[in-house]
Amino acid sequence: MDPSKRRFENLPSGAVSWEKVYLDDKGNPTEKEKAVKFIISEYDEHGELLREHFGIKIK
Amino acid sequence: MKNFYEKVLISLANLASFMAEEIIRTEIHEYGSGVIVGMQEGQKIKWNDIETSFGIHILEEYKPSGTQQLKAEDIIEELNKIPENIRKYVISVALVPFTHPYREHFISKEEVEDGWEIIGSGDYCKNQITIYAVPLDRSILKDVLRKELTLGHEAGHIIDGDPRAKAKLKTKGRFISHTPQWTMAMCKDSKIKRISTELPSYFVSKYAEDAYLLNEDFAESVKCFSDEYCRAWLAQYCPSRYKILDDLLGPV
Repeated sequence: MDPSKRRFENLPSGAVSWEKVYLDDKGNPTEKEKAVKFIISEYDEHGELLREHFGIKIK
Repeated sequence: MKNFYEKVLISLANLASFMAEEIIRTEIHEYGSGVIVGMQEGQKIKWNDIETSFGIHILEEYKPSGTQQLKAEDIIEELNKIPENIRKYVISVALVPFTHPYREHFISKEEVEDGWEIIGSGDYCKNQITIYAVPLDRSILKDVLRKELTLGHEAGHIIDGDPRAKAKLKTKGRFISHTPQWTMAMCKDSKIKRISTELPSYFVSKYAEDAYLLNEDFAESVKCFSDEYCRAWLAQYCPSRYKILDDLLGPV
């Protein structure tokens, strides 16, 4: 995990940090410009996963 | 004679693992944020609460507003593509009529303009999968769910922290992925030679490797185990993880 990607802020879900990873069509991490989907993960104060959100590029 | 009965029991277990979800009852309920992940505090909506044969609740608007393109039967169709021993851990799938509640927070203005949208969420406290309203054709959305094995991955996170799964493996702690059994399996599997150097050597997928999280390694492994072709890959290249998942989620 690249710590610089993690954003620390309180969310209404109770999470205290979150992170977004962009993925290519094979599910491998890539830069935003080459990505077709992303996964956003929310973590609690112990760094444990609370929720995960899945998104795609629709245009 | 003992062998005969063992064979019959195994056959019955295999049959059960291929039994399809069917609707057994539909009730109408008014639910708010206490039940549906992503709803605003105080907001209430009338839902069709559709219970399937294995106790999964699929929630869809009682009076469709037209924003959610997917229907309960689409979710049942997708659930039936993953083994029953995996999908039974999902308590509910909510087809909500709104976009992700923190959409503006998680996606920048430029990203929204570029067409990025949040499709779904997995909540590991409520064991719920939420599918948001996205302005895309129903068939495209079904295709996205199928291709990405989204339900398998999200079910993986749910299983990781589920008390029933932990009891079955006789493990303690919050997540299966954080137990010595799982990390030992990862370590053993890392010694297996891979055909391609592009594959990660320690984590099961490049995504799990990038996230550098045991939870992601477990969810990606369950996703792989939920799919016939990927399962064969897992058995060959990650046999120790496969053994744990087979004990927990087999027969498939």
